[in-house]
Amino acid sequence: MIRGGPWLGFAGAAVASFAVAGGALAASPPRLSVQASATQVEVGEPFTVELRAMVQQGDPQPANADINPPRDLNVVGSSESSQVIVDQTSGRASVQVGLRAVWQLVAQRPGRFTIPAPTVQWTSRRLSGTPVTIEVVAASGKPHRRQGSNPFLMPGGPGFNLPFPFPGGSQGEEPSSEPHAVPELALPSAPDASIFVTTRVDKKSVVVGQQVSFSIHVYRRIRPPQIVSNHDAPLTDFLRVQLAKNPGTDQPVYAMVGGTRYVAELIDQMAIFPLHAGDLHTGQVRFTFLGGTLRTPTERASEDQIIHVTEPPRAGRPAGYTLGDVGQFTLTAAVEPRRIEQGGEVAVSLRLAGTGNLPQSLRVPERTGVEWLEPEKKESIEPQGGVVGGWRTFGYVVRVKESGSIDLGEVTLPFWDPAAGRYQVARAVLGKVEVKPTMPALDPVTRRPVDAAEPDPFVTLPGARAALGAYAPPRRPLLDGSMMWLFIAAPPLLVGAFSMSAGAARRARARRESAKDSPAVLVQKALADADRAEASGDGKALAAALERALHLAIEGATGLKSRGVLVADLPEELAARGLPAALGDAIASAFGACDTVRFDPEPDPSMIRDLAARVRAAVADLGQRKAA
Amino acid sequence: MRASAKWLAATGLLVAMVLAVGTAAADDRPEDLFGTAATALGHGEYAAAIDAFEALADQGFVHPDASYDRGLAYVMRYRAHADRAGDLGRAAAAFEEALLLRPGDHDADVALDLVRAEVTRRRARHTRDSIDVRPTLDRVVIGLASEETWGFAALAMSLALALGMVLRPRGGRAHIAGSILVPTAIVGLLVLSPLAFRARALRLSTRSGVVIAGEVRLTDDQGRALGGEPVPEAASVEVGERRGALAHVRWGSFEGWVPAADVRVLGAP
Repeated sequence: MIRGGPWLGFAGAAVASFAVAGGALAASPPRLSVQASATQVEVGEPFTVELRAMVQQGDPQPANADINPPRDLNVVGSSESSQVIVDQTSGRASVQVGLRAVWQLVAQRPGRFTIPAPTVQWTSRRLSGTPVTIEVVAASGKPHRRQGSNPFLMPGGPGFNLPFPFPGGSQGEEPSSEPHAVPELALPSAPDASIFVTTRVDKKSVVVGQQVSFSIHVYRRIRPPQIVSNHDAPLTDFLRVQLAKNPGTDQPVYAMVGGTRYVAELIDQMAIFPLHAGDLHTGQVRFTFLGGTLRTPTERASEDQIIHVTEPPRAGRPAGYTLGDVGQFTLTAAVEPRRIEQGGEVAVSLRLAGTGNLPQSLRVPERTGVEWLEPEKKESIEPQGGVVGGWRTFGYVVRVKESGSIDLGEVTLPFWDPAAGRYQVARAVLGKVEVKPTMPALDPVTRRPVDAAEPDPFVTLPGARAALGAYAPPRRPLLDGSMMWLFIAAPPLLVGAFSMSAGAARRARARRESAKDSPAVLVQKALADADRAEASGDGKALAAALERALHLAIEGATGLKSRGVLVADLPEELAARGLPAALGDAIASAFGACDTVRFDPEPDPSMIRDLAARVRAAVADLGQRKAA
Repeated sequence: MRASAKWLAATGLLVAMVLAVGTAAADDRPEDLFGTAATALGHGEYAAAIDAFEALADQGFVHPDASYDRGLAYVMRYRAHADRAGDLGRAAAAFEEALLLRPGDHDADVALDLVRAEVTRRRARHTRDSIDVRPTLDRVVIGLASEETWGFAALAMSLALALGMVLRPRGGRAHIAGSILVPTAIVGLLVLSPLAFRARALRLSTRSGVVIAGEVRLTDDQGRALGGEPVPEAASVEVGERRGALAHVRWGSFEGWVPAADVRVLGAP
């Protein structure tokens, strides 16, 4: 089992269960490949065995890689990473996903050993790769060579070719030469006081296909531990190219972190090329350390770098530009021979050189009657001073089916030049080829051409349009969005609102009408009449008005229509309706006084004033009762 | 003498710059790029024509004739046996786009039929059955009329409801008419408003697309295969949400996620 901690098993189980749920029966099994870094090693010399298990995107993914080497071969380190391979050679993207597991082994004694096939879990099955045979010879005492690495690989290519153990770890001492301080590696703070992993990118904002340098450093203040397992940064959205030729072998340096001196070791460095636009995550690099002063396996993870990736501008983008073609390129061409017979072939060799993300394919000037066969590619691409560059040649065989002077046209490669900040076009003119006509070979029996073409299914296809015809884009909808809903909702809502307001107005009018005849209003009216009568000195009218006001006030306060009640009985009736006896008596007395004034031909003015005051006080008291 | 020479040089430089800018601007015009592409197509240089037509589409230039010629360029590459995977799908997408922009384009209709027939013939050669997909009922009903038609119908119902509300409180025949209009209009509104709403939501949230890969399998949003029939090349799909490298599509009653690169979204008018 891979030594990657319990989460690996959990993740594998989860992936496996997803795979089962996803209907694995219909999916193709993974393509397994097993590769050893060497066929012959010395005793004590580390070597690696690599297992790749790839499936088409969408199929259940493999997990839980395992190896069981013979007893005399010890697994000293392992790593497992996910893989994404995008193949665009056939004109459309084919995406393969899967895992890559690498085990580092060391032989204990000479001999010929066969390592049983590494296995991987897929759905409910465990699939085996191929066994690996290793010849182990006695140790020569020479320094062990490092494994080389392919400099140009697709996303998810080989991970960090780390030395096991960590440089200097086995001796438990610092490198022989004194490390020097590097200010560029200084950090403001340390995520861990003893040891931590950090990643760096040289650019945070790039265009699709532009190179970003991605480096991994381990900072430590302890004696160098061993790396017992490592997990690469997924880098699923990037194409990666190894920059460090011998990762992990650089001389350690000093770096200041928050005022404290740390030993910083460059573990790996690679050029990464973003595959699409967006805020792309590199993912975390994780190491498990042991040894030095670490008594238990200690896992450390780097930060997840986020790179803002945009497309090069659309404005001024040349026709034929392919997203990702970024760098500085030149294109040259050679065409041989220049004279052929009809149906013959010429060799076209195109050489693309430069720095950056060298395209995997070129757009050739295909046309009717000229057939371009698949090219043979050769390349030499490697980092030069931290920049990926080199050359790639494309050898085409071009079959010419027409006769005459055939212009092969020119090959163009539009690319975005990040240094100049604009598009450039690399061109190679192919020139003309003289094609001598030949008679087609005839079938001796049918007297028809031997290689007659198949019937054309598009023989009735209408012709091309040489000019743009009249076209008026459709008008915007008359009713759209909130305007449409406003128009739909408005009529019934308006009618409803109108009828509701009309009803409300009606009710208000009715209320106003009924309020006119309410006792309170009539009381006030009667009191106003009393004021007028008092002013004119009309005692009879005054008494009548005060009497009316009192009756109305009683009705308003108690509901009692007091005109039909004898004055003598009134206090009792009012008391029965909750009025105080004193108020009842005062009211009865006021009624009596009113009778006196009414029938007195010359009433005393002071009596009249007193009566008016008493009645007003009673009315006010009754009014309050009502309110209460 | 020296001063006049300087003036002459400066004027010449200015004229050259103006001319250069003018030329660059002229080259950038979509009409000129179309002319370049159409000329290449006329000469059988389908690779150059495809590049130019695709650049035109990348610029956001939308015209049925450009879409139609782009389709012909892909067909020309297919006829020259230099086709790439998905060329027939791209041709179908271009013809579909031409028809979307100009629904009465007879040539585009004929060309689209020929492309789809060739796709079917090619699938039959690989013993793959042709798959008959039917749209779901909601799409059928919504597709019976345009979004605007549904909207106007709902508006008519709204007006009828308002009229019924006015007539109903009155007496006599007006009351009878109102009593009939109100419930009828309410039912009509309840049916037509959701249709108008859904038609608009579909227009805003989905786009027409065509499959431009040999065939694509529908997956869930995690990329796990859903099973069922793969969507064949040149099939028309409804493209919805896009999430990373995946796009949500609906093909008849089937829906799921496919690689966004395998579907070409048609240019909107």
